[in-house]
Amino acid sequence: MYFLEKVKKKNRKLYWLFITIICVTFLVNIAKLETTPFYVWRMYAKPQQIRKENIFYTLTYNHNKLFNKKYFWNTNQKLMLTYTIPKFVECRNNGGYTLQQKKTQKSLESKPYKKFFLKTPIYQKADLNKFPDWLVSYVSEVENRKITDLKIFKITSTYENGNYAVKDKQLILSYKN
Amino acid sequence: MIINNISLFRRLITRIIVVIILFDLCWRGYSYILPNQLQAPVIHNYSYDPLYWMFQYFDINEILISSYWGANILTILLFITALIVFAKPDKTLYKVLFTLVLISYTVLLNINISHSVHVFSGIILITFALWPSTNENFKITWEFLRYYICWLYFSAFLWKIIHLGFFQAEYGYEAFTDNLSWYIYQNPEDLLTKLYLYLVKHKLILNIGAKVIILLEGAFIIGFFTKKMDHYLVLSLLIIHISTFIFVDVMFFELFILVIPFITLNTWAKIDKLKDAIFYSFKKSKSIKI
Repeated sequence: MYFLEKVKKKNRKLYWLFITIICVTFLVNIAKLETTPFYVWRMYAKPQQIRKENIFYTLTYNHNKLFNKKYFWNTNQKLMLTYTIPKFVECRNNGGYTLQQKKTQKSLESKPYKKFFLKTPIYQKADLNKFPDWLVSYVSEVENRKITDLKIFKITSTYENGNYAVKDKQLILSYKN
Repeated sequence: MIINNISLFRRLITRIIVVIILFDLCWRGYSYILPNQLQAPVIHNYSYDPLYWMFQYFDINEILISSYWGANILTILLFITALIVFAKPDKTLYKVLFTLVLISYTVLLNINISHSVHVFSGIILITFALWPSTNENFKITWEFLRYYICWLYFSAFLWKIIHLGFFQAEYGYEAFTDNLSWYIYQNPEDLLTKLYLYLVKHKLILNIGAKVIILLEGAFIIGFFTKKMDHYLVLSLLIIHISTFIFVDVMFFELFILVIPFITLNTWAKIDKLKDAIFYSFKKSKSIKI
């Protein structure tokens, strides 16, 4: 407050700009509607889901070589696959849509203003058929070599009595180039 | 002077930030996440961010990521605008363009990785504070940014209180196992895996550690009342992100850039002197050679 009072005396335009930024920041936080560059930092805010099993995906290429092995420390390197593979699986299980899209579509179902949202991302279906080709192309770019085959596995692991164990390994996608 | 004399170092601060961003862009190149390296992904997620929706409405992803030339132009623009701001740190127009290019890249990357990650948000926010064209306005904006960063971290704490994450006894353990099971699977013989398996058996350490990290986020409220604790806030910020990297597999090191507005005037004076000394010795060695 003391800072803002000083700004008000010195530069009215900046003062009102700051007030606007503060108001918009509070509004997007209250609405929980992140509007870049007004970020809402509520990641990991909810209680974590208590899981008996942990599910993750691995990608192998060219006769079972593990992708991303050498970049284990680099989250940036993992970004492309950490999110796209689960999203692909989620869309494949839900007719091309994410669960969040399905939920929003359902809530709009009987609303008269539904037609205004038909061309928005809510109704944008994922192009799943092209996904394997893109994946091969991206892995090939990263590994700088031709990709002959590629597999995605869904791994289910547990920590029963503190002991780590792999409970299930399921082939999700197999692709030959 | 309203706040302090930070504007004396305006150019130095601008250039240091640009150099950090340039290094970061190179690292992103090494990590294969620059626009021209993405190979035109086919699964997109526009989240519920109005700006993302605007990008979808105007087909910007098609133009700047899916198109070969568009992706290359955006990648070149990221570096070119940074270099121009480095060369002309006083020109507001170039700094505005730089921020807009960075925002476009972040939005497009998030759309194409199918998730809205905040890792680049610090870089975007800090470039806004470089916009003012006068020293006086820069001083004020720089100070405002410091308060805004305090708000961001404190809000992260506040959300964990509101959504009750803070009060969950097993919070640390669940976040840990959810994010690091893949690591244990892929690196069974690794030393870090041995540490992780030890922590799984002693989950109290993880749960207490998570609470400490959340409290460190909450500690940023102190920044609204005094600047005397700024070095502790910087330390908190470093601990928060190093811990989340090791124990939650979330490497937000790009947010380290947010410590810059907490750097004191004396430290800037020292950095400035060091810069002068380096340039002086460089010039001297050049003249001896001639």
